[in-house]
Amino acid sequence: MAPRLASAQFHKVLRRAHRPPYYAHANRGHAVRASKLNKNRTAASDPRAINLLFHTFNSHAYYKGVQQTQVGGQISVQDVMGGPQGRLRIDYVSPPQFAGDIMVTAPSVFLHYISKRQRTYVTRWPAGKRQRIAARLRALIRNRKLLVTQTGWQEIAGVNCTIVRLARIPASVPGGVTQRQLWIDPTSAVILRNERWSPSGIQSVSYFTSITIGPNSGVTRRDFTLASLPANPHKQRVIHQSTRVMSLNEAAQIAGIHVLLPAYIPAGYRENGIWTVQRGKLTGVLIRYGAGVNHFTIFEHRILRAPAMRPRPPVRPRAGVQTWRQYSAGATIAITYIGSLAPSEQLAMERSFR
Amino acid sequence: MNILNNNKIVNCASAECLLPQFVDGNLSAREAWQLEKHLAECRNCSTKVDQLKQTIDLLHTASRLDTADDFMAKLHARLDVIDESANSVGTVPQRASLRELAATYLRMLRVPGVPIGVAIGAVAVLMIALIPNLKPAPGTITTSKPDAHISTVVEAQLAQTAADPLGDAAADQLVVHQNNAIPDSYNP
Repeated sequence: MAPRLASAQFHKVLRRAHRPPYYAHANRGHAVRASKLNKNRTAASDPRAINLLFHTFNSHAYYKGVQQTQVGGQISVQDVMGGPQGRLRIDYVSPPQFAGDIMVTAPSVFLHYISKRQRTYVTRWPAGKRQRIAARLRALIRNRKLLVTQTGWQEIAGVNCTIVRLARIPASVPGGVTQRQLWIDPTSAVILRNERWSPSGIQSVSYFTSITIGPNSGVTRRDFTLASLPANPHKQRVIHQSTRVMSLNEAAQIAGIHVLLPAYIPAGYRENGIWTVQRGKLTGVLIRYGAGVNHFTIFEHRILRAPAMRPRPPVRPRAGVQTWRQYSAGATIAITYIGSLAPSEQLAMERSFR
Repeated sequence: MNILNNNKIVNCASAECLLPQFVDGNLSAREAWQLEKHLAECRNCSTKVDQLKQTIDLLHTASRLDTADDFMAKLHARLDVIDESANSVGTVPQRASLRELAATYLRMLRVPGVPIGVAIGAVAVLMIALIPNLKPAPGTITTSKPDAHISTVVEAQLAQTAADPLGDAAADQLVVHQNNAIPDSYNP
């Protein structure tokens, strides 16, 4: 007869049994369990990389520096300030059309000051958003849909950083498809370089050219408040009343439209959720698709008074945001794509709406 | 012809519909007989028939005016330019091009023997102006500028990226606003 375990010991064994596989990997005593769990996978996440990744979510360091962003042929330079709980302030220096613009991210608000219009757009969200994002990321790692590995070290702006790779794991590619590469300072957990990847290659990169981390940066919490933005009389709240619905039929009923869907969705992407978005009397339907840490959004709403236009299919994809109109079930529907898919994927998806 | 009620012309309005065909001799014998009966009784309609015949005779006797040899080539070239500008993604047909087209026709007015060309041009311009007002056929795709509702969603998505520690709001901002994706009338 097997010896009966004491309650504390029993729970210890139970906890071990329910530990995620990447924990087992770190513990030599459970290497056998890890190898069994990883039988069908050739790659496993690195616990050190995971710890460092989640450390960035809880970084308490203040920092200030100059950041450069490259997307396609476009380059932007910004003065960046950061602080605890994801506080981030981006002051645009270039290109000229953005110079003077400021984006501030605080724990429950996003402020977007557009210099050209002398206006600040204020978007609020419920508290705990970062925690929810972290929980979703944990679930992706635990469910073996996201691979987090440490690929090396590199110095960025004089700071020795650990390179962490985030990759989606499709069944056909055991090594994963890179979605992010992050250069993280292991001491402060500040991300000094952020590369966004698609299957076709690197899409955008933001990196610090100079940075001061710690009290010497002179950054305070006040730098992330509305009061710190240039004084102007126009503060406009972005009213974004969205309600999550359970099905497309429910959304279509609320919005009063026949929702069109793409017949082609890029590999790995699946529907993450459906929302109805109300603005005035008009209700639209927002569908979010995700694959690992990459997302794209489709927003559809009815055009009450369709402007004069000729029916023309998109001849090339427009990066970031593309809007077109489709006539369906007796109504003209405006369809908007927001995302960062590869151009070929985007065009194929946009042309497949039925 | 459905205009006739039991093969009888009931009023002047139904008779007027048949007048052009009557003048051209395209009516059936029964319809022509019915109409002639009406014309014998109605002074207004008979006057209209006379006026119509005079107008047609006048057009037949008028001298023929020819356009320049390269008129059609120039017209098609201009139409192609308009077509290309409308083809570019994210733009609606340029009204400025229509003005340029009108200016070209006005310049051609100075050339003798061009009035008919001008008339054709005017019809072409009208057609170009009217085509965009047609409803898109089911399933067709067209491009347009985002409106306020869309701008709200775009701003909210930008905020969502900003809230994500792994997101890159600076890159998103650059992508969203490149190619003037968001117009100056941006108003979330």
